[in-house]
Amino acid sequence: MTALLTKPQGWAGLLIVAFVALAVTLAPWIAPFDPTQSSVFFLSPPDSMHWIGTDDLGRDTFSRLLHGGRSSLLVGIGAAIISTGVGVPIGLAAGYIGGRVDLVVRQFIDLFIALPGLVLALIITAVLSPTLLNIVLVLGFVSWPRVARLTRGQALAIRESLFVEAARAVGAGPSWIIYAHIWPNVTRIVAAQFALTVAYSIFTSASLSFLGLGVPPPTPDWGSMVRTGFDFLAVNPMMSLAPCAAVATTVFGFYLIGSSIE
Amino acid sequence: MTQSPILQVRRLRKYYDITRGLFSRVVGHVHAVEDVSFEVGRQEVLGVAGESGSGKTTIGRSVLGLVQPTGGEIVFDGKNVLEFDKAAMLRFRRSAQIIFQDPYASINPTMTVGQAIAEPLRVQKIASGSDLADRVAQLLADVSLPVDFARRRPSDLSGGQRQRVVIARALAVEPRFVVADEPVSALDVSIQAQIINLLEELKERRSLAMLFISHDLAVLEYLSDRIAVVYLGRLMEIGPSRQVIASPRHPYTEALISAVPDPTGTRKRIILQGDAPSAVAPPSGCVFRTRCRYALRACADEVPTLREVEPGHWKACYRDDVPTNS
Amino acid sequence: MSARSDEPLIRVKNLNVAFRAKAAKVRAARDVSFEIRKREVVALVGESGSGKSTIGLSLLGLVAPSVATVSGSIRILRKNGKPMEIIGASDWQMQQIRGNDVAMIFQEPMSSLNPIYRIGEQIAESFRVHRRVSHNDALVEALRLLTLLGVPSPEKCLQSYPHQLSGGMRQRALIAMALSEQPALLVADEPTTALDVTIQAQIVDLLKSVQQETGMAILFVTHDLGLVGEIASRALVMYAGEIVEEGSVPQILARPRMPYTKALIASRPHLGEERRKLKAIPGTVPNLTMLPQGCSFHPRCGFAVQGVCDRTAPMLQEVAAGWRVRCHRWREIEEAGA
Repeated sequence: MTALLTKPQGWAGLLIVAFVALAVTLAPWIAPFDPTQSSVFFLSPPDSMHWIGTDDLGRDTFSRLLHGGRSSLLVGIGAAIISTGVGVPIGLAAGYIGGRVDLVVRQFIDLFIALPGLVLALIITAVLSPTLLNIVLVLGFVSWPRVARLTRGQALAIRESLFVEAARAVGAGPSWIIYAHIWPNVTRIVAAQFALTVAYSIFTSASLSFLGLGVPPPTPDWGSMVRTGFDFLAVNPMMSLAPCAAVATTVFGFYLIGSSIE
Repeated sequence: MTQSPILQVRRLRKYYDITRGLFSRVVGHVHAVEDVSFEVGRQEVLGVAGESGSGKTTIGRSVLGLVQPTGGEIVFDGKNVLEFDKAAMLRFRRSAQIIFQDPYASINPTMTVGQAIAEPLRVQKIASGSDLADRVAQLLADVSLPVDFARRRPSDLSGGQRQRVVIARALAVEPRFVVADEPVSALDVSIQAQIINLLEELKERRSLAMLFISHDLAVLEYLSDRIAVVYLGRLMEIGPSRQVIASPRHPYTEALISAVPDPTGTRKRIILQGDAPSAVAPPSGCVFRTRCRYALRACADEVPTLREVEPGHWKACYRDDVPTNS
Repeated sequence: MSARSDEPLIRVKNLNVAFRAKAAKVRAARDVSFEIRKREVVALVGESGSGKSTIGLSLLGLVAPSVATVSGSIRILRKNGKPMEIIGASDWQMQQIRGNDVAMIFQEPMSSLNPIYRIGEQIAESFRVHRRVSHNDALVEALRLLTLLGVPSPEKCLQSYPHQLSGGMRQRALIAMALSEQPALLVADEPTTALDVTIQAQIVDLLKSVQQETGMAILFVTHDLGLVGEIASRALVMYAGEIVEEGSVPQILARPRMPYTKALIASRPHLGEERRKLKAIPGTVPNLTMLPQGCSFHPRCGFAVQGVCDRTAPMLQEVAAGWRVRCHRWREIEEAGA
């Protein structure tokens, strides 16, 4: 984990994410306008009052951007928590216990990884009602197999190692072995995967919103902002470009963190 | 007055299944260990000599319950190890420990040396807190390592130093019996002697019984009281080490001794032909007969049992007149 | 220029090999000079970190200039009578002599063999590198060689894949490949270390008989002094990149003059000898990037004298004809009867 702080990409990622997180958390206080408040200044370009301009209903894009980030970050982190919370124990169990448990888990993992995450998410959200909670659950559900596979692989490798046999030779049971040997070797991968899952989930939820299956209006959301802005690209490109850039930057920041840990 | 032996192994067998196909059909067995019986006295070092595929490592691991035997009995201090429940097994692991061959792989690289040595103490709940730290320091001193090594990682240590850490770990629970599985084979020649001396010293000081597994006959002769020679999973010869080396009674032992490089050129040279047969389909009767220069037709009929040819010196061979000129 | 019949086959002069590692230079070979005569079996003895493997690799030009700086001279007398300088030779020149004049076998036979080709194919390939023979003829020749090397059921061996063979068989296959062009020198880098002791005896025996028959010279790299006694007539003992003792094998093994050699012999139990206390060598092999001042062995030497051994590095001194030792105090130690 120290690589995060020693590598320049780690620093860059941390800075980006910290900046975004701070901005969206403080949205209610720093946003100049109410994001749902329409006005007569519709489709106006960036100026001194509306820093990124306004959308088709005269709402301030900058304020919408800040508020919209909240749900994106929430979804991203929520999904990562779920996928880690579910994937890690399952992966550890499958890797360490092996046998039939592993066989069953492996089939599940392979099945889920074979299906493209976005398609899966699409199908599920089309069926369920598009609340924030549901989206978090869906994205967590879609991402846990990857986490489980990585954790399982690591647990498997370590289980076979001589130092684990040495631990057994002094009387260690499974709980000690997982705690003292497997977990310390797994944390790095888990942390890296967490960051990458956040990145992936933010991107996917934005995509879902873009396709109209995300959080319903009037809640500002980056994906739906891009969608609405699409129709007005020629007139007011910032409507789409701003949220696009926001998604890209945030995803990139988390990606940098994830890859620097690895 | 001889005490009862600390370890009795009776007719130990270990087969590994060979599976094939989608449903893991068992198509055969690797006869890793076949009908091996021996005893280890309370303060005795029994050396186990053999080459790769002899089953010596499997014997060492089976004795400690790290490998589940297919058959046979392992009696430690009068109690049957294979019938131990979890609690008894935990207690057993306080009395019987193992030193592995590979000092690089037997310590978790993410742990510090101190944590690695403390592990047995914590798992066995022998010590905690500051008492733990004291014990670790004492153990480091016992193996002649500086106390501040406790904070270092294994990757900072040399092979010899790591092996000392492994030994410290094994001794942490104050066992009465230690299986040493090729403890010096992975080390440089000039370091081997350090570890051999350390083991000898610790054995004396702590009155340990040892099962010393090695392919190196010279080291075995040096450290062991008795030597057992194994080939293809079976016991060929067992007896006092000096005697077994000076006058081997089994043709395989004779060949093994003569294969050790002899700069003086005085020892008789016997070159075994070919390779050891497969352990999946071992030869009938005496498993060594395919390479034995004294083999008779009768050797293929039945497996020769161990018989005492001199007090305390046993061999598994039908012929009494071999080896010649030993 | 025609070669005199007593010209050495290999003459190494002031060989220096320094690997360019991240932190510092690793001086694996320091000012190494020696000769190998035709038909001679010379042992290069040392532990890990002594530089012995590097020397072997240098003789075949296998130390890449991208990873190490190689200086000095390695002169080989080719089969055609012409001498050739190996250091600085072009790839094409080296390809001419590898296999032809010098061949090498390694410790781990599995890594020298391609797992997806049968043994027969690989041996045949090694012939066709140097000669124009048809595939079938090459296979016939491979069969002949394997039979000569005493491989049981050689046809089956040719048909097998490397993983189907035992370590001893693989090593024989490699020896067959190495000998196919009848090189004048075989460099054997710990060829038996990974093998069981009875198989080791077979391979050593094989090498000895091949050497007798073909008159090939062998540079046998090993850490096992016992093996040295078995196979070699002359020995070069290496420590920390330098040759520290050089002489005939009987002399060196009976009464070594170099404290390191003495200590090495005293630190190994020998089969059947009188019970004695093993004298371990204290300390560890030095780090080649941080060598001690003066004699590189002095921190571990029981005879080291302050002010002398830790100050100046000793040169190789002559003990007798063909016997040299790198020690300041060898005479005093000898006189003291140690």
